[in-house]
Amino acid sequence: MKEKDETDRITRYLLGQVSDQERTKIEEKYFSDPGVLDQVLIVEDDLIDAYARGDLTQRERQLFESHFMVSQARREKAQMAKALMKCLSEELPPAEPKVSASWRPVLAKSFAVRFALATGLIVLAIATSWLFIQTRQLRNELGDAQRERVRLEQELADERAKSEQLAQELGRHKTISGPVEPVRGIEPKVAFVLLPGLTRDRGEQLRKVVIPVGSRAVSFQLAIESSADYGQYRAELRGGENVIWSATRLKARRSGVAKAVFITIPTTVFTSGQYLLSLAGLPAGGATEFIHDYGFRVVKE
Amino acid sequence: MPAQRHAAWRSQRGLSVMNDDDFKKLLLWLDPDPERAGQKYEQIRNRLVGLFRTAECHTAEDLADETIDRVARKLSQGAEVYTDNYFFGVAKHVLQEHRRMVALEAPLPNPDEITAPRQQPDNDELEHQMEAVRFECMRQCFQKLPVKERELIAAYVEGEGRTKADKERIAKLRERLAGEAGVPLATLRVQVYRLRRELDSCVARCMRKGGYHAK
Repeated sequence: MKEKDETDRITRYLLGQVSDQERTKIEEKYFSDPGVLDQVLIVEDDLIDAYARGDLTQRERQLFESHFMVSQARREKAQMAKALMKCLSEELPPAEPKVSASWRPVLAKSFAVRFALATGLIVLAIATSWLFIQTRQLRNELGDAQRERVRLEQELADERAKSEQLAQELGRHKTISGPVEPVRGIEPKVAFVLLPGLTRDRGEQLRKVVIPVGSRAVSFQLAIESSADYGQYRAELRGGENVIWSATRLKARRSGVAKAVFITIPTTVFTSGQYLLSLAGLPAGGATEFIHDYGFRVVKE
Repeated sequence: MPAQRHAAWRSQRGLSVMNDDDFKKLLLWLDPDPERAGQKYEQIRNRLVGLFRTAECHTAEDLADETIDRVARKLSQGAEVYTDNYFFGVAKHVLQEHRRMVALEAPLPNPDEITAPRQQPDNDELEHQMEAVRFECMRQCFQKLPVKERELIAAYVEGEGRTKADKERIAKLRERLAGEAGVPLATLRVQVYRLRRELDSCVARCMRKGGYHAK
């Protein structure tokens, strides 16, 4: 209880809800004692996590946003907490509650219970037989449906193969000149940020790019780490040894110190597999200068 | 090294620069070996900055340097300073003076009159980009951690639990983890705190590599 009281007091301090006198006392304590400072920082972490989970009351949330988050360091912590929560929600399955029951004492109790149990078993047997018959009928129907599906999948695969072959041939011969415009009349359905430095040799670490059914184009934002500035850039996409798509006279966009090149590639260029995007700078009057490789793995749904 | 950096930092901000002799005396007092003195100076300064930030001071670095300047002047004047804790005693006074000054310049607003800031509009492109990159970096950094450390972090990020069943499950999980680590729960909590800071540092380094700096 004492620990909870102390935690509550520190929480009120962090939300600016203590008197000046109490605030001075708390600050004197943690300025003098590293153990108390640890406690304050831990309560701060817990508060940030509670905010990220949506566990604060409306009043607490208001105080958190207006008072606690005025510090840049705390805003950064909150952003990190949000990213970590999102990461964990993808990593861990929800905990399954453990259910345990012991039936023996119940069985031993009374005739009524045993009669009810016997009746239940008979009903269960009838239901099981009915289910067995239904299952067999459904299995037959399922078999028919599966055979039909296989036939349709084969047709679809044949059509896709033809379409991809045409797209690859088109990609080999096509070089886009001039500034890259969004694919006319078609809005990209998926967009990905690629960071430099991942190469295709370490297949398990490649960025996964999932292209949903119906998507017509994929946008990539190629983050540039290099400090060198070029007026124009060139991007090339390789599926194996050959270049299957390219774009030149690309411009980089800046936001503060961040710099990136944006490209859009029709999804018809891709099949499921590994790819490598290479980015090069085009200095005025000079030869192309390699900047980064961006490896990724496509999964077409 | 720390003397020149300290002087340059303060000079850039138009703050008074402590005289070189005072600073050298301070370093000598910290440790006769210049290398170790420099390290101790950095540790003390970082701790002071952390304290002032925890006390919600926007000018945490200035206040930390003001604290160090005062201790250096005291030493030069022949005051008897026995331990590093002297810095933190001076820091408390610096903090209280700072609070008084802030109170005089701008009275604290009444939180009841403040409305929560609007959320940034969804079309803030850079914010979304940074969020995406931050998440990707967090994913990579988290994956690099050993399984046990991932389990530790997960056991605390979800909080105490909302339902009674959740609270019991989480309490039992933390007790088990503390038992396996052979430490009390309070110590385990501090370990988790340090792990989270290491994770945050990994993410910040990853973002810088991609050309993004945390705002």
